[in-house]
Amino acid sequence: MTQLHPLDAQIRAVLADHGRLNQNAETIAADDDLYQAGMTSHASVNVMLALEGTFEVEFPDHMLTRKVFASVETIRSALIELGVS
Amino acid sequence: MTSCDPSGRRVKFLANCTRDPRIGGRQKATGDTYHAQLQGECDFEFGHVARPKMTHCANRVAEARGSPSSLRVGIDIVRIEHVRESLAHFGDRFIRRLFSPQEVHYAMKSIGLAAERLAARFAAKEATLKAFEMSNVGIDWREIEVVKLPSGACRLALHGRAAAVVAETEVSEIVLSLTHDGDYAAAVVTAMGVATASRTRAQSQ
Repeated sequence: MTQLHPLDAQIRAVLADHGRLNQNAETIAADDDLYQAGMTSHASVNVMLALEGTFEVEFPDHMLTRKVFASVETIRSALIELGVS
Repeated sequence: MTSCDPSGRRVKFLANCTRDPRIGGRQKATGDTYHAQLQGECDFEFGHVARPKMTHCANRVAEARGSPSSLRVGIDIVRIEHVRESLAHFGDRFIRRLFSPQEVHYAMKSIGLAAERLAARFAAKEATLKAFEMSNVGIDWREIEVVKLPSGACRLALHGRAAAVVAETEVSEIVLSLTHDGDYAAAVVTAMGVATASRTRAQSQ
């Protein structure tokens, strides 16, 4: 069984509130494509803003890509890159 | 000069558009609808022809095998209510991250239409990202700007990295069309390659 990363619960909570997913954000696989799960480009902006508020970070321009917000895993990697632990 | 513009040259792309008189009568009833004219006004030098991979969100038509991409299309649709909710939840942060001061000024001139206008502009930004396959480049949304002129005409103005990416494609003309009606706002961005544009003009003469 995959071990849950400590950041994932907060990321999933943000996705549940703002991702407009057609699946349960709590149970979606960490590497599942969030866009395939119903997240629109506008919803991904809301997710980005909510993550910034939750983790008190700011995503720089080079991270404002579709890939960064494509899955729980890629979001987690981006947050870690921004110094969130 | 910006970090996206190492050559120091000005990289800015403008696509002018004007109100389409054929749909002028509907505009008052349904909101702003713009139809772009092909004017191809630009002030950057063309670089090499970029050949990015086809993605799910961009349609390109090559005229013949081996020819450069000659037509790009991007489309996006946004639920206006969702933008209204973003405004309510994130407020100024949502506005400042996505829209230029000019876009905000125009949208807020009519409070009753602010969400509609911002939704149409967001759709235009996303349609531009799709048309030029920039979804994974890392673009500040404010670098893709919808400019509305006092005459009622609108145009797409690209800045910074967005302008630099477009400058690397063989594009001479960009067409922008916006609409909002009822629950939705939508935008279509079409860009024509130099070869296609020249041929189209020659055929029409």
